Amino acid sequence: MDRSYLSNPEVIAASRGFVCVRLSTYESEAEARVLRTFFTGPSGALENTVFAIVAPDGRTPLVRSGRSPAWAFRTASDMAAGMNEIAAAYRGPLPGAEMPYVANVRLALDVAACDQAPLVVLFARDAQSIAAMEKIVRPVAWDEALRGRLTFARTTRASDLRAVGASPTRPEVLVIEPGTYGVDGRVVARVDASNLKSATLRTTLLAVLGNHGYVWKDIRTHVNGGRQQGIRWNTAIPVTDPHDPQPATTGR
Amino acid sequence: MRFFGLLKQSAVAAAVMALLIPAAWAQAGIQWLGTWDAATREAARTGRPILLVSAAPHCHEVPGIW
Repeated sequence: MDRSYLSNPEVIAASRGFVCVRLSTYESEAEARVLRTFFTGPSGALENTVFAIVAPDGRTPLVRSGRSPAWAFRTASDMAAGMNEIAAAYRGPLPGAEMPYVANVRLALDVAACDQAPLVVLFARDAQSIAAMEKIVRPVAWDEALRGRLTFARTTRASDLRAVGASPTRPEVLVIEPGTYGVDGRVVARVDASNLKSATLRTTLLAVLGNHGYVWKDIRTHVNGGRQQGIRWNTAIPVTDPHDPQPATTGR
Repeated sequence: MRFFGLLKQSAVAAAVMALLIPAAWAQAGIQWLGTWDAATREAARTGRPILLVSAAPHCHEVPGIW
């Protein structure tokens, strides 16, 4: 993923005027079909990375799509300027109504490890209880000091949290430090739904971020270490990037 | 004297970068929705364009790195 553009402060500022979505390639057939409408490689296959800027209709590209922002913009500054120009043509409420969930806890733990961001999981056995927690968590998730620094997921299955050593029984918010490879983690904070308040959740999350360490991951070291430990990611659908020498197997 | 001045400037720049990189990471970033369904709902509600990226959260089948 081209982080040189996406971590640029001007681009981050410009992103405020957009609905920003980051998908995990090869984790959903439905999303793969969407991605293929925007970009495929010379062979027609869905490749590892896709970049597009699309009209609100979800179909009309507004810039040249490709594997990365570099396919449409020469520099990050050009990208920010281009985005600001595009956003000026679309006036409407700013995004913030959706919870920024990753599709499921397993994937969210992996994404959190990739980003080295704490993972926030809303757990309850029923959807109504989760919805009640979302009313409090959502404004915190979009808080100016927290946006883009956390990963979010929700689940009604306690077994989804086994990998982080948790067995919740009551509705609660769990804050998790992902393990290096995103296949495990540890719970660093828990807030029972009965005690859930926006201000205290915000304070808790800021405190977790304050204690959160960042370690530079060297790709070769990381991959070799994962292989030595037998850690392997199974994608939901086959990897079709022709540049990937060992396509991951389907299934979980 | 000029050489030592440049050397000092480089050392200062390196020290500033070492401080800035963790600080830059600690700044707010792009708020990503994680599913296309959520994105299209939000785009329909707001009338805002969509910034879409996709990447595989694994490398050579090893998770935990983009």
